[in-house]
Amino acid sequence: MDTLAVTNTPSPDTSDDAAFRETLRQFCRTECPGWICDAVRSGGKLGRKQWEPWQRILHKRGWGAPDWPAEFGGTGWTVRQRQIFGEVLAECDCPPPHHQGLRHIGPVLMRFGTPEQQARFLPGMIDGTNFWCQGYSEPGAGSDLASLRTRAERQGDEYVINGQKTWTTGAHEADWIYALVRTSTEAKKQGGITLVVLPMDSPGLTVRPIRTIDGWHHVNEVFFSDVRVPVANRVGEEGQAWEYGKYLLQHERLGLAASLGQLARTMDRTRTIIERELPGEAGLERRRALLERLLMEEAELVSMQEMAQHCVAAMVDGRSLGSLPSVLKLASTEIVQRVSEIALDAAGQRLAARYTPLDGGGANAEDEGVEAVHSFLYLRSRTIVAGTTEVQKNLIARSLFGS
Amino acid sequence: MAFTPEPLIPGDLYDGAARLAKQAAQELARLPDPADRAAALGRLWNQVQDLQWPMLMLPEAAGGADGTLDDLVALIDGAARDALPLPLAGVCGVTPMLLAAADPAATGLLAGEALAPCPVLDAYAGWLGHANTPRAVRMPDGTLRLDGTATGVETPFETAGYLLACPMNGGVDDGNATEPALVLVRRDQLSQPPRLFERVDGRLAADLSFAGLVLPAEALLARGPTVRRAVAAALDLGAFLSCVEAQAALGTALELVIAYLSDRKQFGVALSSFQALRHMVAELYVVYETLRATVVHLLHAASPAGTLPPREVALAKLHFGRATRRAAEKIIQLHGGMGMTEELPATRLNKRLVMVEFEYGDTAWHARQLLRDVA
Repeated sequence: MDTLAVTNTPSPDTSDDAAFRETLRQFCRTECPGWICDAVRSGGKLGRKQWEPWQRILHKRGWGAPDWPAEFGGTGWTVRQRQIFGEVLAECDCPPPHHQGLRHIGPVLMRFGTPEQQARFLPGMIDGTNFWCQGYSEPGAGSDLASLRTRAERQGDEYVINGQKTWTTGAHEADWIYALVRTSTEAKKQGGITLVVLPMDSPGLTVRPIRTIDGWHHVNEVFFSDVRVPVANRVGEEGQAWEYGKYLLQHERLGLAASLGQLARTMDRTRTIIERELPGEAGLERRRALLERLLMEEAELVSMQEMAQHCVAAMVDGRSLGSLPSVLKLASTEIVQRVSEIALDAAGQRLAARYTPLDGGGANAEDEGVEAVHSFLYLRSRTIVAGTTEVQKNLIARSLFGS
Repeated sequence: MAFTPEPLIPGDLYDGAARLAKQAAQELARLPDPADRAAALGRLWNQVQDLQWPMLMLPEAAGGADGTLDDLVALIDGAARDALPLPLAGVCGVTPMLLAAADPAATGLLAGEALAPCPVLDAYAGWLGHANTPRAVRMPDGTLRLDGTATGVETPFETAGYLLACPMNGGVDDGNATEPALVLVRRDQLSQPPRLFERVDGRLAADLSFAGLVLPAEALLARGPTVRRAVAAALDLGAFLSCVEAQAALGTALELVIAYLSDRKQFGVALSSFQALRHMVAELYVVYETLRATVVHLLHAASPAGTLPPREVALAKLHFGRATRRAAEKIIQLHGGMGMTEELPATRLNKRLVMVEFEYGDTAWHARQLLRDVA
């Protein structure tokens, strides 16, 4: 079992690192539009409105794919440089790179796609012109993803897809979807699953929003009714997508590594909320209590950052990660949730009762801090998406007990 | 078995310490009488001295091995795998850090005598909260007068001496000013013999009383700001080594839990087949990896001289204090009734995990330090 060892982790900033960090910092501060930084700073849910222009700006500078190898148009940065990039984005309130394309299907296409697919799809991810969403979960196939039933029937050079996906983040803003579909029911349920990519404006494909507890629109149902997809849009071999899906999920879990810089920034913002909501002598006792809880989370965040560095370095070197991605996912999502609880405890008393004004408008954007209430509710999803906490525990236990 | 904890820094030091710890665990498990165990710890300490581990971190010029922080961590990690109940972190780590403030000749003298004193930091251990902490007065004739008490000082069965850091009056031109001092108290100089205890984790601790103890001038090894800096660095190092020990003990405890649940059957099937227990083990593993990552992070953050960033050490202690006790509770629960017995090998490790919270500042104390700017 892979575990953290002393020798496998990059060292702290060298003078080159420091210069690199300063270059990035200057760029972020001067090039990222203020309205985008405001949106990030507010703690609200980001969408294509913020991501797309920022991605174009990064692409123009040659930094559109910080995690990708140079041969696919990436920066070819070292693990340490990527980490610094994530830290600086967070520090400057810039959006992290959009994950669905750059971090999820992009690496899968690089590994399993044809050269034609790579040439066709990867550039649009880097320059920000194409946004992607993930068609994995179904009403009867969430944690038990292998039970998915969306059928793809081969008809000549096309697949005809019928079925439904759910919890599809960003489907309402995406240009493309990558979807796991069933092409056979004869093998065991993990067999017979195929990965296809298709445009969201395909005839027969419809998107319906799901109203979630946080008041933000981010997830959807996606319905397929005789949707035709060229066989050329199949990624890898027919029936082999379970392996590709697992590869993608590992990247998805490791995506958390990149978001830890954002979490550190969220802690800073939470500290600000505490100090703003509980000022002076009257607020001292509660302020101290909440700041102490925040310290506990900061203490755990240190270990998450170390583990994340180790995982990314191991992945780049092709070393086994064992169940560390699960550990990282499980532990970091719980920290995220606890930090949002602290922010809620600071701002909630004033704002939870004034969540949505009835005299018009949606979320109460007038009240500074109300995003902390939305965010608390939204972040309950973190221990559910990308494999629930319980699924992660199953994976870890299987690895520890050998069965 | 699918899980075996890996050394933080593999090598001879780790292996040698792990071997001694295993031998000690087997020997101590056969001794129900605390007095017999204390005597056995005395014999084990003699082995430690024969191996010259107390010399590991002393400078070569003073006859030491000029070891690095990595060497020290390898030693402590290996010994902690089986919770070796000896004061290795204090004597092999904290003491040399304090001695950095002393004249190299004095350090050489201690090394020459193979005198491995136990550190006594009560006066600067704000978390202890007792009022009568040790203090010194430098008398006009150069002798030192010590007063106060020190409690729960980690010690082998018979130590040759104590290295005391405490405030001293009369050490500068202005006789009323106070400055930190580093004082060597040889065991045979004590007017009252130390009162020994067995700690929760099976280590030995001593209560010392210095009431009016007069020591010769050469007992004063160092004074002033260098002592203040050495004490701060030594406290941080002690806290860090306590974390190193905790992650090692938890690794072995986890290994034992997995073996126990795999072997033991209830309702006709192995306990390891029950999801509730498997999930609890997974939670333990997550704790283990996060604690380990914290230790690795601190090792990377240490300076070449082995000093550690104080804020990050305090954060680590916050993390460890909370996590180790919860882990110990889970390990007991996972063993069912057996978890409550002394005969279970994991019990020794569990007790070690419980003790971590009280070493070098508890959670509340470190949180207070980190929040002291909150008005």
